[in-house]
Amino acid sequence: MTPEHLAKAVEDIPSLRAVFVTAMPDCLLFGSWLHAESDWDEEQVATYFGDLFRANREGLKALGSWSSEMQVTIEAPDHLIILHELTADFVCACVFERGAALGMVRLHTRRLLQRISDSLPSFEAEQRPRGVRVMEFLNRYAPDPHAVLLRVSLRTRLSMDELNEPQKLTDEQIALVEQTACGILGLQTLNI
Amino acid sequence: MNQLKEFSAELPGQDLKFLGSTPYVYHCHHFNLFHDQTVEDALGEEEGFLIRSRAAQSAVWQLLSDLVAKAGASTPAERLQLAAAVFPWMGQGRLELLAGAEGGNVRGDHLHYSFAWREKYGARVRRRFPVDAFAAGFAAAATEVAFSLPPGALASREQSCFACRQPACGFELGRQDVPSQAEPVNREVFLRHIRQPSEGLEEGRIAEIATGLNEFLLGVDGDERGLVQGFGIFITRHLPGYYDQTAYDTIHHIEKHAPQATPAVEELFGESGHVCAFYTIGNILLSPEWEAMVGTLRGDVEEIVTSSVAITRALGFGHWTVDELEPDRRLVMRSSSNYESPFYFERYGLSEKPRCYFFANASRAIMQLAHRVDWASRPELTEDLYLSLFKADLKWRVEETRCCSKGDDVCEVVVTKG
Amino acid sequence: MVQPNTVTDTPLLPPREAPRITGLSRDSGCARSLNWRCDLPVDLDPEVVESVLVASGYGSRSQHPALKVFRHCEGHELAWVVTTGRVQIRVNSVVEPPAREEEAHRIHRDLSDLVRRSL
Repeated sequence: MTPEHLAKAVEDIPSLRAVFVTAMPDCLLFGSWLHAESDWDEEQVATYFGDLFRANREGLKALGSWSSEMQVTIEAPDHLIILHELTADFVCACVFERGAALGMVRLHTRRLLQRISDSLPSFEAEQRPRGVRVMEFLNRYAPDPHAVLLRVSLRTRLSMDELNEPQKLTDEQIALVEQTACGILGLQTLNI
Repeated sequence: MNQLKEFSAELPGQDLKFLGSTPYVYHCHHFNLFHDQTVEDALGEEEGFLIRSRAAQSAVWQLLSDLVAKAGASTPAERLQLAAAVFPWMGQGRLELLAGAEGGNVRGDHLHYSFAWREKYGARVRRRFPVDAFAAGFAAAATEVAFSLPPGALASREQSCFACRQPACGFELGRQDVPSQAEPVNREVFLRHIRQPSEGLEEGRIAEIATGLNEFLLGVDGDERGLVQGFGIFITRHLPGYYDQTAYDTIHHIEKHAPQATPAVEELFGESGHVCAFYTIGNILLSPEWEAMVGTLRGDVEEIVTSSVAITRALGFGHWTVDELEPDRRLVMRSSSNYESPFYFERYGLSEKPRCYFFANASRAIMQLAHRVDWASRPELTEDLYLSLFKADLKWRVEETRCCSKGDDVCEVVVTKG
Repeated sequence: MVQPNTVTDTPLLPPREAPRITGLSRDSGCARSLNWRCDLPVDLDPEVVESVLVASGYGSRSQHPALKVFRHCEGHELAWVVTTGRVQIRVNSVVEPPAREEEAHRIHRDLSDLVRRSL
């Protein structure tokens, strides 16, 4: 998705301040558009919204009330934010001015999401090897990120050379790295 | 507390500190947590805790046995009182020692490790295994010494831990009777293994600053929680015997059982040198105490390197000297004494390779701090800055070219631009 | 309270300028939002300031002539470099990180009042 695609998709939408497209499950910024006056850190915002959406999805699944059509609306003091799952691989956050009418916001969001969906690839996230995704997840969320590769090496006994090429890890090695990631992060399972 | 100050002494010219006959150094919680984390990464949670608590038990048993003799504390109550005073003097928090010769319970409040772990990692990671191995070992050793038991008579388990989001820390002591054979690595041992102190560059300035900092540090008391705050950071007066035994036992284990992971474990123990230089030395340089005692920083390379070395001496790391310094190119540091090689040589004998992981990597970090931090702007030493300095942009290589633990006459590290 | 039209036999003096304490900014430290900085005028009398601080719950913890460290009974500390005026406010570490900034502002406000009183 090019910046031109997004710039075209947001044309004629009033009160829109920003759009962030986040690649899931890794919560990486995939594309963004910001109003000229905004100076937000796109990568940071995309990551947080990706996290928020995933937590929301898992919570709803735990309640047995999840649907792929769900949408999260946040009424912040200055902004109205709508999060929507575009595909299994992408989440979109649309940030509007707080004063915009909710009905109009929903209408514009529906149009905007359709335009963005049409230009999304359907294969990129799925093609990335699981070993790569696990290491990316660790790099983002583990404490002491400067040392995380060394820590994984020490815990798994895999060499740094092997870990530096996570796409080449065997299934058994990936399972080991995942188990280590859970230990480092204090998680029971790694849902990526 | 005043009695402990009386027991605290320096080895003249060597910049080593002793409480009674036992060496101690100052380290902050960032270093302590990173060190323990590396042991845990290498050995697993259960085994890592066991190794750490046993190392603590062994080192503290030596410390307290010596102190009760010097203080003339002969009854269990007197000895427990002394131990309960030593623990907060070390900045480790408070321990309520309620055990007897057959064991019992111990309660901990504001324990350094769990309190610091919650502060540093608690918002990001859910901890499921206790962290207070040092306190566990201390509690066992204090009870052993109080009831005249040999080292290793008691085992200690942490049953609840503040780092695991439990309200307080609790330990259970029980008999195990696994004798500990390790000989103490005390003042006498250090005297046998250290070399004649030498003078490096800017010796006058370094020695003068170190003397001033030493005097200040002696006057720093713990607060009502048993935590010690000096220079705006939380510091511990800790036992090198604990650091050394846990580090070297862990490295030896990896060298023997998983040699492919040896570079990782060595690099991680070295990383704790970066952590110390950045958080402890860096924050001391930026502290009001430094401004009052030494002055405001200009921030040039020579000033930062020599100031950092003065700080390492005041913290009890040994007699480090700057032997060559070419800004933007090269640093050579030597130490006639430090807290690593004497322990290694005494406990494990002659090494085939250098073993001063902390000395080497702290030297490298000092060079990075001297070149890459704009000190005059009084930066905040945040985790982001740490990452930018030590993950993304570390341009210095370090090699320990001589080491007393492999029979050399001095420990020497060379830091060059790589 | 000042009464209007009160006659006094001492001449009115121009109001003395209150000592200015600078605003609060973050200072370096080993934990999140624990250390904060402000600056006091360099011409304050350390003994007077000390007595005012001690009277309001601070204990003196430093003997160094250029550095005064005061610990409040509530657990926070002030480290004051007398020669440069720099003050480091050290919030009690038991205060949860999100509440530390507010706590620092409260201490700073109180300190401003105390310094004004030290005139």
